[in-house]
Parts: sequence; structure tokens; C-alpha cells
Amino acid sequence: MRLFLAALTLVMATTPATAQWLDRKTPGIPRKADGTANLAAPAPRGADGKPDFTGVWNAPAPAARPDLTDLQPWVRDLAAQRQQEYHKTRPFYQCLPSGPEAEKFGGWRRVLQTPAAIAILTDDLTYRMIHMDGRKLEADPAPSWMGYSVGRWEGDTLVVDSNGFNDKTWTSRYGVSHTEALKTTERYRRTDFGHLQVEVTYTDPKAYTKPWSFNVTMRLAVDTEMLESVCERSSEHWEGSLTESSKGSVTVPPDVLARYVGVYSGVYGGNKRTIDVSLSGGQLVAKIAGGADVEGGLGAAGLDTEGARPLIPRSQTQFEGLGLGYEFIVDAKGVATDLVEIHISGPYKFSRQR
Amino acid sequence: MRAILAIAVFCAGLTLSAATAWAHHSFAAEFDATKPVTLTGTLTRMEWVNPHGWLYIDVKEPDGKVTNWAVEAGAPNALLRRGLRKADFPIGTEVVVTGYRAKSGGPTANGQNVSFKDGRNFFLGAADAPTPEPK
Repeated sequence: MRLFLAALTLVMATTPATAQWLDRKTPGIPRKADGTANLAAPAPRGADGKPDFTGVWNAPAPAARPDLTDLQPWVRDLAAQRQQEYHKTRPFYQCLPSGPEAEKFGGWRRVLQTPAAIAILTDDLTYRMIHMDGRKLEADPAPSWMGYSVGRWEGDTLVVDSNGFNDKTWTSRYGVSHTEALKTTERYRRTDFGHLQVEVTYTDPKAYTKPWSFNVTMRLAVDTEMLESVCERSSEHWEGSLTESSKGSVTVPPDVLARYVGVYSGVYGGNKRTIDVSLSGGQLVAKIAGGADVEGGLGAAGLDTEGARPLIPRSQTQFEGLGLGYEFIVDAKGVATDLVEIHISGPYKFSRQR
Repeated sequence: MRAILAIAVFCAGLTLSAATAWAHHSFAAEFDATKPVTLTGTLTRMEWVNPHGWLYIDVKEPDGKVTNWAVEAGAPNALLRRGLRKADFPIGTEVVVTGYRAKSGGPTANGQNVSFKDGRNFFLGAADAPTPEPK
């Protein structure tokens, strides 16, 4: 608790009072007696009586992993190949629009709703128009990055059908392709003032053996603003591959490896994450439990959530595993007390539980 | 040191709510975890670009030669959300970076920890996320 307070103080101390529009109070929203937003209040409705989704929303990156059996062999093979190269060719990493990719249902967006059309603006400066004027999707649309969308109300649920996507985007960050035959269906339900539930289904008979879907709940972002986030540094300079990184490894004696075997736990991406390190065929392997769907180099874990990641020794205490660095912190006897996972954003320490 | 690391982890936990779609990608595609580096130098430029911001610092080598290092840090939007602006990072500020060198071998590094001489550290676990929903 003391550490928590210390950490809080540290964060507060670095926050000047001038935060411009980012702390401007959102007008017209229900508030509790203490002035905070009442996110549990009933969802607002427009003049047409339909739920109104207008507002700034933020969502966690959804857990969108299709079953391998839902994918045609060529899609599976391509996903495996892309995993090898750290998903370097993911449109988002190449600073290209993400199109219908599941992960882009997470993050920031601003929704502007009128009876005739709903606009979704995203912080990467892409946008979508959902036409509500009764028009039908075209049978043979010109391929585009963001597709064409029409919406209709089923009671209080907004149902959006889209087609006309080019085949350059992915449907999941784990390297899952689609073809120009892709159709998506989104079902939006604003369950209360502060929450918007979305269910997205991908249908593409040329890529998937059956439709697959994921859910995400967006949260109304109150008393703040969306900031633009334009990708300016593409993945062009990324080097190496998983295969390459498994070669030329240094040798660590078995008794040293044995002192690292254990269960480590900590927090990553706001979620508790547990890393189970064991020996398999003379090699250290790590299995991640919890928080595995939170982005953070973990895309390299690929579609197989159950898969163990080999830890390739780089020194007596340093290892590399599926795109991340790992370092064991040891006591005087060489027994590991902590495991540090090294991300681009910094080190994340996981303490040994057993 | 332990306490500092603990605070660091806590801060990361505070800042990185689950409600985010930050742009992390594979560390190993760019950096080498076996090449740790500590750089002390003066800030020459800061790029507020996404998905990761970059700092450029002049580092004086023992032989007196000055090398301009590029250091990849956290998401600039996270800094903006904490109320920080460009003026908070004046050119010439002394900066201490601990991190890892790029695989390319050039004067490029990933900043695991970027702090000012006065101890302020703005980049820790920086992600563009709103405050977490109370549980």
C-alpha cells in the first residue's frame, strides 16, 4: 500500500495542472453527487427514439483468436509464416490502415450519429461511414481499405453489414488473412450510458471454413478527448526471425536451467500475468497464463494460446522468447527470484511464486 | 533498487489499464536483450511520433567524441495525457537512459528507463490509455 501511494505520488507529481482539453468536462452526461460520470445511467436516445451512440469511446484490445480449424490451410500457413517474422508485414506496423482488423475495435474512436448515417472516426485518422438510409450493399463493390457499411436497427441493437474490403488487411493481429470476399457483421448494443457492447463476425468462405467472431465492450471516455495517433515509423527496418533467433544460442548447464524452473507472476497491461517456466527436452520453455491476449509483443505467440514458448539462452541469465527478452534475477545461490520480461515500453518484473 | 523497481512495476500497472490498444510490437525485431547500455547525455531533439516516441541525445564517449544516439521510448500520447508538453523537454536537458542496443549495431537504443538528472521519469510504461475503470 505504501509503495502504491509512493507510485501514485510519483505519477501525480509529474502532472502539471495545465492539461488543456484533456480534462475538459464532457457536457450533457448524467453525473453522480460527487460530480463523476454516472456510467450506469440509462443509455441516451436520439430524436428518432433510437439509442444514440455519439461520443468518445475506448476499448481494450479484444481477444480475437479464431480456432485453427476455422481457417483454411493457406490462411493457417500464412499466419505461421508471419509469426516467424514478428508480424512485420501487419498493415498497422507498416503504417497502413488496419481495415477490419479485430484489434482496431480496441483503442479510441469517436462516434457521430445522425438518423441517416453514423460516422466512426479513429485516432489513426481512418474513418467509417455506416449508412442508415436503407441503401443495400453493392454486389460487386470496388475493393477499399475500410469497406462499405450499411446499418439497421433490430430493436435497440444496431446491426452493421459491411463488404468491399481489399485483401491487404488482416482480420487479427496474429497474421490472419482474408480475401476480397470478406463480409463482416457487427452488432452494437449500448447497455447503459457508459458501455457499448460489440459482437463482430467475419465471414469469408474463401479463407475460413466457417464464420468466426469476437466480442468487445467499449467504455465511454468522459472528461477527456481522443488524441490523433498517426503511425510514422514503419516496420521496414525490423530484422531477424524466430527461426534465426533460435540458432547460435549459448549453452547453459542443465543445473543452472533447473534453478530457473518455477512459476512467476506480476502485472502486465493492467492484468495479472503468470509465467510458468519449465524444462522440456533440456530447454527452458515458458507458458503464459492470464493477460496473454493483451498486446505487447505477445502477438508473436501466434494463434496457439496453449503453445509453450522456448526460451533461447543469450547468456547465463538472459533469454529470448517469441520476440521478447527475458532475464532471470538470481540470489547468491543462483536460484531465480524474479523474471523480468523486456518489452519496448520497459521491463516488467514477475516475482517467483514457487 | 528493489523498491525502485517495485514502484516502477506499480506505476506501469497504474498507467497501463486494460483499456488500451497500444502499439507494442516485438522487442526482438529491433533490439538485442544481451546488449544493455547506459547512456548519459544531453537532449538534442525529441520526436513526438506514434506508436513510440524518439529522443535524440548527444553522448560524449571517453575519447571525447560525441555521438548522437536515437532512443525509442513510450507513446507520446501518454505524455500528453499526463499534461506534458514539448516545453517540458527542453533541448540541452541532461538525460540518463538505460536500455538495450539495436540489433543493427548503430547508435540506436530502446529506452527501458529514461530519466532526467533530477530523477523525473516520464516514459515509464507509457501507453495511450485512459484511467482504468474502478473495479
